[in-house]
This record gives sequence, structure tokens and C-alpha cells, in this order.
Amino acid sequence: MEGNSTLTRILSSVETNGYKIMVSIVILIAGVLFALFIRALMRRSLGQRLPPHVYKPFEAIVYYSLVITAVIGALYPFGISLTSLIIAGGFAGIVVGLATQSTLSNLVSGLMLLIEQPLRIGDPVTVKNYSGIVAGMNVFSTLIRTWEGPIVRIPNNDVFNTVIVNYSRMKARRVEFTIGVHYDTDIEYASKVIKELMAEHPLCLVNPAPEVFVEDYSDSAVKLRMRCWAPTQAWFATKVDIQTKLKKHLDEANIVIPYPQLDLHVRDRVRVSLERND
Amino acid sequence: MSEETPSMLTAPWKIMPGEELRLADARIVREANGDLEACDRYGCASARVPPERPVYAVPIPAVYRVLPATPFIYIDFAKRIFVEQGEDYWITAPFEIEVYAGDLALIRLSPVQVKYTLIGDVIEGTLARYYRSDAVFDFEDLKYEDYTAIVRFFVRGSSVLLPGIGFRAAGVEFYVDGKGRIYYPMIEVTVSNGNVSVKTTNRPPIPGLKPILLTRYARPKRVLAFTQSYSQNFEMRVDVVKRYLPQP
Repeated sequence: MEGNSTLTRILSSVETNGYKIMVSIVILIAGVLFALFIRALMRRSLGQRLPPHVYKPFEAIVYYSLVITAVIGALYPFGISLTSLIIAGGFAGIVVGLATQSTLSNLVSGLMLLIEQPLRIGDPVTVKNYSGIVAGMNVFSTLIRTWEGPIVRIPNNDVFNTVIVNYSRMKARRVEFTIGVHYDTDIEYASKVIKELMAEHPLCLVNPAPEVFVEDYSDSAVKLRMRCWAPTQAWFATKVDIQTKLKKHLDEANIVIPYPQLDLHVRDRVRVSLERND
Repeated sequence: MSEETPSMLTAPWKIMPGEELRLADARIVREANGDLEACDRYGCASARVPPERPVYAVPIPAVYRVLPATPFIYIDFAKRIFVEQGEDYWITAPFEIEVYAGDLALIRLSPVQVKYTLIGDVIEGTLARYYRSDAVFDFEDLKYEDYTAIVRFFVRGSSVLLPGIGFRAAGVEFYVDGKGRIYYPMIEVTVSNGNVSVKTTNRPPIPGLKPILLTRYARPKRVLAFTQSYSQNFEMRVDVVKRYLPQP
């Protein structure tokens, strides 16, 4: 019976190498437990002190290094040393490398991102048309929690090779929009009223000073451009607040925001005949 | 309901049931039935507090309202001042009020309008709470109001025309004198080749002033988490003024 002979061979192999297997398992378990212990220790001592963008990659490097060391140590009782692993790994590396080209590309890009740090956990960013807060960064991908809520996972290779807009690196960000006022409006007065609104607002900075200027003489209105700078973290709140208050402020100052209008001039006389039904 | 002006009392102010505390825009009303309302121009908070529970209004550095965006305050001088090594000057700076019901903080209020400014450029510059004040040589000339604190700064290094100074205010401890006036700690300004470095010390501006022990009011250890890291000293650049050299 072939099945019985295979089983016998496995059992005899286990009998012969039983001690080695036991030692391997003990080394592996002890190594992983040690790695978990070190990780817990790091979280308690360094996790609170270091910023997440520094701590998380550091923790991952230490933890996985210890786990890999434990795996290599577990192979040692079978006579598989680090040197033979490296030699074997050389050949295997070529094969695996070709098979997992994109994964390795993500890994290398992830490491490059960790070194260059164009974005950090907690930064408000736009990456590949996705805007939101960086929720996490690991060696293969970057997680972005969009303003709408969903978390988007972007492979690190894409993050590394695309344009990244990071809004947290500046101390202030400009709030600006355009408002149209009626052609009858005194432009200087309208500018003064809008400037007053921005000067009153707590989050519009004193320096750089708020600005109002004529942007365009359009069909129905004189377009005024208003700008003020706000602390980066309060940019959206400032924009919404000023935009909301602006209409009321202009109404109070009797400044009219005109509807689109079209003046129709008829060059030739046109005879129009009307019929009455009754 | 009795109304008491803060200058009659020494900060921190204790507000008893049926009392009201007004400090410019900030208003704290404690009704006899336990209702407590604290407001400034940016908002209100209300709570019901048992009459036996103490309610305090504690002065704190003006860096929390309306947004804990920066630990620094920048005082813009109404007129630039010529400062020289070894001289000291007096200015006023805003403070905020933290309202405590027992050992729980209810709200922070700003008695004055809140504005921020940026010193330097958008990337490397420093964001600071903005306030405008006269800088005077003599304490007697200082225009002091109940809703402002007093700052004394001391100059080291070269002479320069200063348009204003910024200083780190977050976490500092206030001092109070016998008349209830509130003081920031002594500020040290060092000028060198147009670089101005301002350090907030932990010394009283006038020897013998009593510190307001904020720890008494069970202030949380981490009062605020700024989104960006800031240095301890306030740094800025000013134009170096050419000196007039008399011809031989």
C-alpha cells in the first residue's frame, strides 16, 4: 500500500526530526512573543511621545525585523543558515521579483515616501484627485480618508509618481471668491463694506491684509474679487462663514447683487398685430 | 442680581449664585436657581450648577479662543519704538477667561475681539494671535483696562526700531498685584543683526508679585494640542536701521 508507506515515511521523519521541529516551534513562538512584547513596550514608551508619521513606520520596521529574525532562527535547527538562505534567496528573488514586480515597486515607493515625507498621517492632502486627510501610511499603500468619509487606498507607487498637494505645510491659506455688484454701486463703498466684513472676522488674518479689487466688468455686474488669509486648519470654516455672512452684510449696506439681465434694443420698427378672441 | 467689576476683586474671580461678572465682551451670569451662562462675542455655553459648587473665572493666556491655532501672541505697537540694550518697556496684551464649575472647565471666553496675524512668509512664518498696544517706557503711562493684562519686556543686544513683539504665551502662569491687575511673566527680547528672539521667562515682571496658581483649578495637563510644532522662542526679522555717523 503506497499511502501507508508515505505515512510511515512521514512518521519516521517526524520521529527522527521531532526534536528539531519542537525546537523550531519554540524558537518561532518565543521570537514572535518577544516581537509582540517589544511592540507593546514601544507603544507605551514611544507611541505617545513621537508623532504618528515617525512612530508607525519605526514600529513596523522593528516588529517585522524581529519576526523575520525569529523565522530565520526557527530554520537554524534544520541546518538552514542565513548564508544559505541568502544564496537561495538570490535565485528565488529573481523569480519572485518578476512575479511580484508591482508589489516590490509599491514597497520601494513606500520606503521612499517614508524617507522624503511629502505627506504625513493627519495631513490634509490631494493625491490623484482624492482629497482628504492621510489616515495611514504603510509600506505598500497610503490610506486617505476623503472629506465625504470613505477611506481610499492608493498604492504607494501611484502616490510616489503623482502630484501631491499638501495643505498642512503652510501656516495660512487664502480664502477667495468673487461677488457681483450692480453697475450703479459705488465700487469704493462696496470694497470698503466687504473689507470691513473680513476685518471683523476673527479668522481673517491681519497680515497678509484682506484685499478687494475689481476683477471684471461683466454683462450684468461689476465682479469684485475678495481675498483674505486664514489659518490653514480653519480655511474651510472661514470660507463658509464669510460666504454666508456676505449677502447679509451687503444687504444691510444697501448694495445690490444683480440678477443676470439682458437689454434688448430693437433697431427697426416692427408691426405687431394683436387679435382678441372675445 | 449684584454686578461686580473685576477690578474690585483679585483674579481668579469667584462667582456666587445670583452674581454676574462682566469683562468687556465676556459675560458670566450665575442665577440663584443654578443656571449658569457664559458668553462672549463668539458664542455661549450654559450649564446648571448646584449652588454649593464653586464657580470660578480664571484668567488664562489668550491663545485658545476662537481656535487654538498658535501658542504665540504678537503685539503690534501703535508706533514703532526705538529699543536699546538694557531698557525695559510696558505694553498690554489680551487674556482669556476659563470658566470652571468646581474642577470642570466649561468654556473659554475672550473679553476682546480675536484676530490672528502671520509674521514672515506663508511657509516659514509664524502664526500669532494679534493685538495692538502702545509701548511705553514708564508703567504710569500705560493705558490699562480691566480686560487686558500687562507685559513688561527687557531688551538685550543691539539697538533697533521695533514694530512689535511676539512671545510664547501658551502654558504661562499669570501674576497678579494687590489692585487685581494681571501680568504676563517677564519677556526677554534679544536683538542681533536684525534677528529678534523673544523668550518668555518664568519670572514675575515686578519682584514680589503673586502668581495665580492655575493648578489649583485642576487644569488638564495637556491644555491644547497645536496642529504644528512650535519653538519655545518667538523669532522674527526686523529691518536694520542705518546709523548716522557724524563726519570727522
